[in-house]
Order: sequence, then C-alpha cells, then structure tokens
Amino acid sequence: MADSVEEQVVALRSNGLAALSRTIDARAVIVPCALLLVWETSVRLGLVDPLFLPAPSAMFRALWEIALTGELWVNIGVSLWRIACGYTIAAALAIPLGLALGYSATLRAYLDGLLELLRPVPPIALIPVSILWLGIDNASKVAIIAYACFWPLMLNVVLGVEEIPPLLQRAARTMGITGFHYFIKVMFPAALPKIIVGLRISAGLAFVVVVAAEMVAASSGLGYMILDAERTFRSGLMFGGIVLLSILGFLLNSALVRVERRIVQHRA
Amino acid sequence: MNMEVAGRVTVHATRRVPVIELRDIAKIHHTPRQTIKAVNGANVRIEPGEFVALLGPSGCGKSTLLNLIAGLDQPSSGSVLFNGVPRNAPDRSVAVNFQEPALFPWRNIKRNVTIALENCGLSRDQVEAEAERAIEAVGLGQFHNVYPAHLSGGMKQRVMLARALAMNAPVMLMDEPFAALDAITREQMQDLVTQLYTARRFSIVFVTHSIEEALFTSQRVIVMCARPGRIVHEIRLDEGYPRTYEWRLSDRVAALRRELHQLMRDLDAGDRVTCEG
Repeated sequence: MADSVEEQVVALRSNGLAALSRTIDARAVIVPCALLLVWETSVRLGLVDPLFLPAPSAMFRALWEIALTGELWVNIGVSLWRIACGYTIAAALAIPLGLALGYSATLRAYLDGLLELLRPVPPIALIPVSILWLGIDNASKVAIIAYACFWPLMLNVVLGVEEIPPLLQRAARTMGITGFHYFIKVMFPAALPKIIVGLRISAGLAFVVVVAAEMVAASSGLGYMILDAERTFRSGLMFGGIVLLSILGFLLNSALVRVERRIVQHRA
Repeated sequence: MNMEVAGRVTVHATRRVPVIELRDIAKIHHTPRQTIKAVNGANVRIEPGEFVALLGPSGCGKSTLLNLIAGLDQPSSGSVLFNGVPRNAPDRSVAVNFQEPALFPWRNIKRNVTIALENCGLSRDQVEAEAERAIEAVGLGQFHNVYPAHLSGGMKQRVMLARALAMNAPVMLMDEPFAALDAITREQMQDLVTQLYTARRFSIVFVTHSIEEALFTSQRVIVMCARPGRIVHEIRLDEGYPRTYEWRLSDRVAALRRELHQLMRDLDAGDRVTCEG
C-alpha cells in the first residue's frame, strides 16, 4: 500500500517536471546558465569585488543558510500570503465590476470619470496612505496589492466584454439566451481570454508592489529581507533575494500561461 | 407563448393566416448627416411551409427585412406578424442563420448545437439526443467534438443549419448563408437545405443576391431593388421537392434566369437614371 502511494507521488512529481519542461524550451536555459558561469568565474578570478557583486555560489549559500534556520520560508510564505490575499480581493472586485461595466453603457457613463481619475495614481504612491490607515502589518500590504492588481484586471475584463462580436450577441438573442444565461453562456466565456491576460499582468504587478511595500515598512517578507540584508552588508543574501524573486515570478507566470493555454486552446 | 399560438392557428386556419406577414413595412435609418430609407412599403405574406427567396442587389434592404422578421430590429412604420400576432422581439419560434456563422469558439460542434436547446425545459438526455439527430442530419456525425476553429466555411454553415434544425422552429431565416463559400461547396449546401426542407417543411426565408441560388432552392422568388428598398417583382416556381440536378439545368430555370437577369439590369439602369436625375 505504502509502495503504491510512493509510486503515485513519484509519478506525480515526474508529471510535474515533465509539464514544466514542456513549458520551458531547453534552449532558453542555456543563456542564463552561461551567464551564471561567467559571473561566478569573474568573481573567483577577483575581477569583481564580492561586496558589490557576490558570486552566484555565495548567493545560493546565503539562501541555503537562512533556509536551514527557517527564516527564508517565513519570508517567502509571508510575501506569497500577502500576494494571494491582495490578488484574490482584486479579482473578486475587478471581474464582476469589469463585467458589469462592459455590459452596461449607463454604468460606464456614471463611473468612467471616477475610474479615470483613480487609475493614473501609482499604487506605490499610496503606500504611505495605506500605512496611515491600516498600520504596518499585513493589511496595508494586502490593500496596496489589491489596488495595484485591480486596474489592469478590470480594464481587461471590460475590454473582453466590449469585444464580444455583435454577431454572437445577436445569435444569442435569437436563441432566447438572455439575462443570467447570457451572462453565463456567452459573456463570461467570451471575455475569458482577456480576463486571463488581465490576471497575468496583475500577477506581475503584485510582485512589484509587495516588494516595494515591504521595503517601505515591514518586519517580514522578501522585500524586507532584501533591504535588511543590504543594511547589514550581507550582499550575498541581498542578491539571493532578488534571484529568488525572479524564480518565483517566473514560476507564477509559467503556471498562468499553462492555465491560459488550457482555456484558450480551442480558439486559435 | 408564440409556439402555442402557432399550434392552435396552424391547426384551424392554415390557409388563412400566414406564418409571417409584413404589412406596409418602412424602415428608415437616421445618421447624423442623412436619412436613409432602407425599405419602403413592403408587404409580404409567407405561408406555413413555404420556401421563399428574397433576391436583390446589395443595399436593397433584404437583410433589413430579415432582421425585422427575426425581431432583431423594429420597423419605422408598419407591422410584423407571426401567425397573426405582432412580433417585437426575437424568440425561439424563428431560427436565424447569418452570413457569418455565429459559432461560439469555446464550444465544440455538439455544444454549439445544444446551446440552442439548453434552458428550454428539455432534460439533458433529450437535449443531447436532439442535437445528435440534427448534427447527423447535416452530415457532421463524426465531428461532435471538433471546435469551430478547425472547421471549413461549409462545415461551419452545416453546424448553423444543425442548430436551426435542433431548435425545431416553424420559421428559418437565412441571410446569404453561402455567399462566402466556393462554388462547389455552395451547390452542396443548397442541395442540403432543399433536402432538409423536403423532410421537415418548415417555412424558409432565404436572402440571396444570386439569381441561380434563388431559383434552385425556393418556391417563390421575391425581387427587391434599392433606393429605397422595395419589392418590385415576384415569381412562383411550381417545381416540387426534392430538387434534382436536372432542375438546375432545365430550360425553365434557364428561361427564368434570363428573365430575372434582364429585370435586374433594367432596374439597375433605371436606378442610375433616377440617381443621375
């Protein structure tokens, strides 16, 4: 019995790896690896001061050390949790509002002015406001992430609804598909590709904003970790944190691309 | 509601009440710069089970008439009656096939047909069975799971026909459905439509700008001309169904084709005179 469970886990893992390798073209890995090699060599040959640019091996060692103490996992967990909360709140608000705005020209007429005034405000400019209102704990970061993710997502949802071909709308009417059924069967699936584009853009923004917010005022999270490493002259950890952000962002985007492909594969 | 009316009326008064009646229809489009009379004074009666072709050049208002019958648009004056009852909005009693196939890209063929049957009181099994029957009837039995992106133009129009069949509406409107197809596929589709019509005998209003297509498929050709869109001529064809290849090549069709060609050339010339004048 235990064997079979283990086999399943192994099978799952290899499926996951196979899936990842399908997403990544092997050729795309060559250049980053070569760059890491050149980087490592130049530091070891003394061409670069390790305080300004530590070797990749030093970065990974620094990450490994705080991984062993558990500090790394706490910081990753905190940042991801903030992103997850902010992102979910943004999606929960932006998708319904975007659908409603795309559907109703009247609603658009009333809200357009307000939305166009709010939209240009950079989320990072609101970090002080969120700290003033919500303190330096999770709530302020989550609010800023939600605000940042809200805009690209909502605008893409509106676009998705506006771009539904009039032909399909007319066809739906002649089949008696109206109201809630129209929403479920025509509007949402037709807008879905654009919704996913919005979700991908928002995910990237969430990463930017969580790090910025954690650098301004926080006592945990990857942004805090990077800034704290800089203040304490641990440049290995500082760069390690940055590389970690790149890897996490890459994995998140790959996952969303896979979801996107699965959903829009029939529409080519 | 309308379906019930259809049932009652067709039983008691098939000959007296047309399934579709257009009374003194005028449709005026207002643009910021000008007012365009798309249709003026159109009167049409379509009997239950009749196959009517609306023939005319681009801009003669035939698609406008079709949209009015479909309930997708409202006349500026006059009325559209379905089984004697005014018709103001689209409903399931009139199936519409547009020139561009209106297929939902995220649904495969079968689900593009079932969408017309969902939420109208049928069980899931019934919906599936109806859809399968309709897809079989248009010759796409092996393609249930294929998505629209992978279909040819002819196959897409077949799916549209299957959807209309599955709706089991007493009236089917077709707005130049085969205009974008190649000549051979077009002929095949014309044959398919007349076969389906032979079997089911619903009413069909078929908009086309092809004289041949109108003559091959319909029982009655209504000729329209432009500026303003109006009905100028009508031809009844006594040929029964199914239509054969011999009918396409017959002397009668050839003679009618010549007559209609001449008529449309004359109308076009007259049109130019009035425009220039």
